[in-house]
Amino acid sequence: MYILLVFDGIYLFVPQEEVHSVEIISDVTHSSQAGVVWFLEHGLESPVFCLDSDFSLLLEVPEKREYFVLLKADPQPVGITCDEVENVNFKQEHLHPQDLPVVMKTPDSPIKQLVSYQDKMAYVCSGAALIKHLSVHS
Amino acid sequence: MIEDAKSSRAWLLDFGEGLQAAIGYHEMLQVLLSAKLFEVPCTPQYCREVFIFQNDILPVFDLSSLLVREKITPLMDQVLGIALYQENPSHPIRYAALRLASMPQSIFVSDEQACDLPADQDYWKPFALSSFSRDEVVIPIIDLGYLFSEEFNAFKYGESD
Repeated sequence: MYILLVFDGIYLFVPQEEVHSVEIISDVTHSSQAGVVWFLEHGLESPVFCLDSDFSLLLEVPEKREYFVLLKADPQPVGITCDEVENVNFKQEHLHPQDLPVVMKTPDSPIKQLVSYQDKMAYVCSGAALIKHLSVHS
Repeated sequence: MIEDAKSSRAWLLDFGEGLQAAIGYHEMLQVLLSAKLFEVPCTPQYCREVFIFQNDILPVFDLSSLLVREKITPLMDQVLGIALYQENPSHPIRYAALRLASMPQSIFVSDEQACDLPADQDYWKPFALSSFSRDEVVIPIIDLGYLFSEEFNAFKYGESD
């Protein structure tokens, strides 16, 4: 099972087992630095980031972002905002992701695989790769 | 040129910006004129797009973008050459697309045409298997296996994933 995040016109899949929870954006507590809002849960604050279609960090949360997905991380989860979110079963949907071609790889790309989904090209990323990407660019 | 026993067929490719190169005749499967391309973020400028071909997701390599080293105005006519390559003989055959400025041209090349790359075309050296002279222009023969290899990616980025 995968969690599909839709934002800025892109489709991003993350393995469900690497997702801590899905929250609504109105639950964020405050913003302390440009581009980062915070979510407080059980006394732990999780940073929540906004990405654009180039996977660059946005400085403000776009109005369409209604949800955020918290990725499992230590010591606290890390969030990514999105416009839409849903569960997708690759087997049921007959989706067959393919590895990103070697020639397209860059050291800082979190994209591991590509998959055609609803006439779009969707990206498959691990939670760890996304968190690394966010930490490098924040 | 008329085919003879010492000549081989090849495809002459025009990448735009005055860049021409050749590949073996057996290395080109098909030419597409209106494929639907998808841009993928966090990818090299010279290979930012993919498209779907026979249920496979293929990379689109833009050699002019690699060699000219700046974003080039998209070509009006989108021509994609579907190429076959093998990283080495023990690896499976794979497909990839080359973005072209015009339709590939079928040519014959003979041994007598072989020559060295001139110094002002040194930029081809990393991907050129050899070269030949045609109408007083030196044409490199591209090593597709290297272009799409882990080795080339590591050369560009200093590490392989």
